[in-house]
Amino acid sequence: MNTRNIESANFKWSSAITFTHNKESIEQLATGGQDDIADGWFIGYPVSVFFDYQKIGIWQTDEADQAAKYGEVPGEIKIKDQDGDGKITTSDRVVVGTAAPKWSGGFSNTFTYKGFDLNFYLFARVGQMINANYLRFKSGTTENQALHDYWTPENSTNAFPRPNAAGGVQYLSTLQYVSGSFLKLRNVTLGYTLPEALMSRFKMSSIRLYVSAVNPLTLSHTKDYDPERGGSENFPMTKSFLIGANIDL
Amino acid sequence: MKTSYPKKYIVGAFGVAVMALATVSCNKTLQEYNPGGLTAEAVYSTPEGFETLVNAAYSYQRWWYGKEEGYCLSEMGTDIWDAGQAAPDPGLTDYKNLQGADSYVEGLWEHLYAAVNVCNYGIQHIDAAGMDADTKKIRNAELHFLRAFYYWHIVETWGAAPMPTEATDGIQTTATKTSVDDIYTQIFADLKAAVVDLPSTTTDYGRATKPAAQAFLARMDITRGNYQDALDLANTVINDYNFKLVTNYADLWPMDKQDAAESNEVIYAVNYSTDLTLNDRQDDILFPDGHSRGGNNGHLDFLMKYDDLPGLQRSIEYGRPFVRFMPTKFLMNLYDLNNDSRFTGSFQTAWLCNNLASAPSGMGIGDTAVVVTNQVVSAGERAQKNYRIYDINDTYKSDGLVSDNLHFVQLSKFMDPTRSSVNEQVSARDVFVIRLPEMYLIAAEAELKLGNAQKAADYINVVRERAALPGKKAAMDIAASDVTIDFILDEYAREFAGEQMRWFLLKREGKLVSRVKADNPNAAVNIQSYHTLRPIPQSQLDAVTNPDDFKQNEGYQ
Repeated sequence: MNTRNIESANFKWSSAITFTHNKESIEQLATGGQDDIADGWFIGYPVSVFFDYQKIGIWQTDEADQAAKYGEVPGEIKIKDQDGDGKITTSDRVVVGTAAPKWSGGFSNTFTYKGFDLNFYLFARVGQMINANYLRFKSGTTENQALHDYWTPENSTNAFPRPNAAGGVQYLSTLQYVSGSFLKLRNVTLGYTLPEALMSRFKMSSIRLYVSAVNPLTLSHTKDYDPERGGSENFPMTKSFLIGANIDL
Repeated sequence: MKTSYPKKYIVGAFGVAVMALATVSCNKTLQEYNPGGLTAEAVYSTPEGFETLVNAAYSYQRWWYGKEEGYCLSEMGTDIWDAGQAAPDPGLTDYKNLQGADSYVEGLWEHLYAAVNVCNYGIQHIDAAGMDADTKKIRNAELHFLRAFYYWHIVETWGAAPMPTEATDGIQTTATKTSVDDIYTQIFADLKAAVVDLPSTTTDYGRATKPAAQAFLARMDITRGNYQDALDLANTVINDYNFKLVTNYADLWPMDKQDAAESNEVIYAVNYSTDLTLNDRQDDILFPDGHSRGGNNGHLDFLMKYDDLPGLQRSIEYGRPFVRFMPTKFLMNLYDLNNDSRFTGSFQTAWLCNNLASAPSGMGIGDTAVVVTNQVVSAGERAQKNYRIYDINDTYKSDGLVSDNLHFVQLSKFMDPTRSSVNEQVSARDVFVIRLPEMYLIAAEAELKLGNAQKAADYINVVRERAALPGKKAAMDIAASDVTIDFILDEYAREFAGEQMRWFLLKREGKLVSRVKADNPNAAVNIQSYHTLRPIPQSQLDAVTNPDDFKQNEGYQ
């Protein structure tokens, strides 16, 4: 949808809006009424989902008794006992989220005021989950990793479990499922076209100076990571900044 | 100059061509050759093609032998090994939260069943391969040996498990478990068939032979309690062939003495090539489905962290220390150092200075830089030395818990100073799967179970006398009254530490849990009775459409 919001002699504002709503679900499988866990296909869910245990926090010091029932100790990952049978089994795995966004939308704007022109494009993708390799928690090794808010008796966080040099911390995969929703400034350009009166002096027909940036700003749930990358640590998104001039002779 | 033909000639020529094609197509069938479209049926229906199938059937052994995953499933989680600082899988080294998601368990499940499938396909289709009768008989026997070999790994690791004996055709969506007894029935049938048809020797080292099948069958018999059969087979392998014990135990391990060891004492080995590209390392073009490291990795996994210590730097001779596995305190105390050569024949305890830049003053190249010992070194002795000392109390606490998982007496059997560079991961060292001493220990165990303790002692003494330090043979001898199952298990540890059989050995004697609880305090806190079986990979359980019939092994999630 394109709009022309303001058109006066000196000031012009026009916009373009795009919106996509995503609705996707598996109705039937070759297996009949059964979910196909090995392929990750579940009836009533989108094609690409995350099927795993559901983390509901970290076992805290005052929950030691409760944790012990599940064979855990404070500082370890607390998993939701979906079927309430008093133990965590593979039947407690659920679809914790989907990689498909609920909706995405773009909002492009162009302003001109006298010699100035400004264009920016906002883009949002909302409702999808990512499996962020960046959040991988390697409890048992000396390999370096991202800074994590991990549990200690003094730091009763629900974010990451207590590191353990002996390794063997369970359910680490659950730490990586996070919201991949984001709103970002995809690109922005500010230009200034020099007054025509000056042109004859330079013997040129027009000069426009501009600064532009691609992907300069992202709002998301993942600090230091652009969720548009979809969870992978490969192929980083770039930010680029440009200063330039358009000169017509 | 441009040539132009009149149009009608072109049409005429085209017409003739069409007619010619039509004529030819009536008389001849089209010969299709599609080099990219080879099918299994086509390749394996020629003798040369079928040889590649047999080779492939062997190659799956490399996923287990000489690999970190294989060490984890065959040696770790026992009384003699602890997790080093960089232990890859606490589930297998310490039974810590071992579950069906374990990637090592999953990978070996997949490769063992892939191996079985290759064997099944070969056994089914060998008649169509056009081989001469003699070769066909031998290859058929090899495939039966290998199928039994793989099924033994499967049945001991997972217990009751699927047991296809025909190649998989199409997609299967259900799985059923065959009982342990029935899988062993199949193993015995395959091995007995193999024994009949295999040749006594092979010029193609690494292939199964008749004594290899008999030795493996002896291991099966002792495992299943067929003591007389085990004894007879062990004696056959000991007496009817040219195997003999290498004079010095330590000479089993140097790379340049490997051939001598293999022609004397080794009954069955998994071989790796000195042409590293022929091994199993993953390569996008040559070998896309290979192992990420490839070759023998034993030279990496058992080494301690020496290369940052004063006077030392990483070298080809001392190897690339992966610090995966370390001995338990129990193993360290198992050797009679005054009489038994196997401690120094199995472990490295001293490193000589190879780096002046980090050496303390007064230390020269070749001087002792680091000593790690299973003894106690007093403060007074330490004060007189300018080199770093780690004694048994530095490595272990008094109760056997590990206090330093970086510095320990390291297993040196698999080190490989012939590698081309310091960080080369691929070693061409062959893996000795069955050595002659195992036949003596199987015979000893059988005799003990049959009530002949003196004969048992006699067999054990052959192994112990070979291991004796010079002039100490008599001191190594044991008496009939010394022989117990526990003594035999200890003897296995001294003789075979690291040789990928410990877990199965303890399990077959019903000692896995009790020995881990007694002698491996790091794993003792986690081990449960159900740990005598490994979890079935969750990916396999998730892939079947009959999850109510095909269930996880007891105790696992």
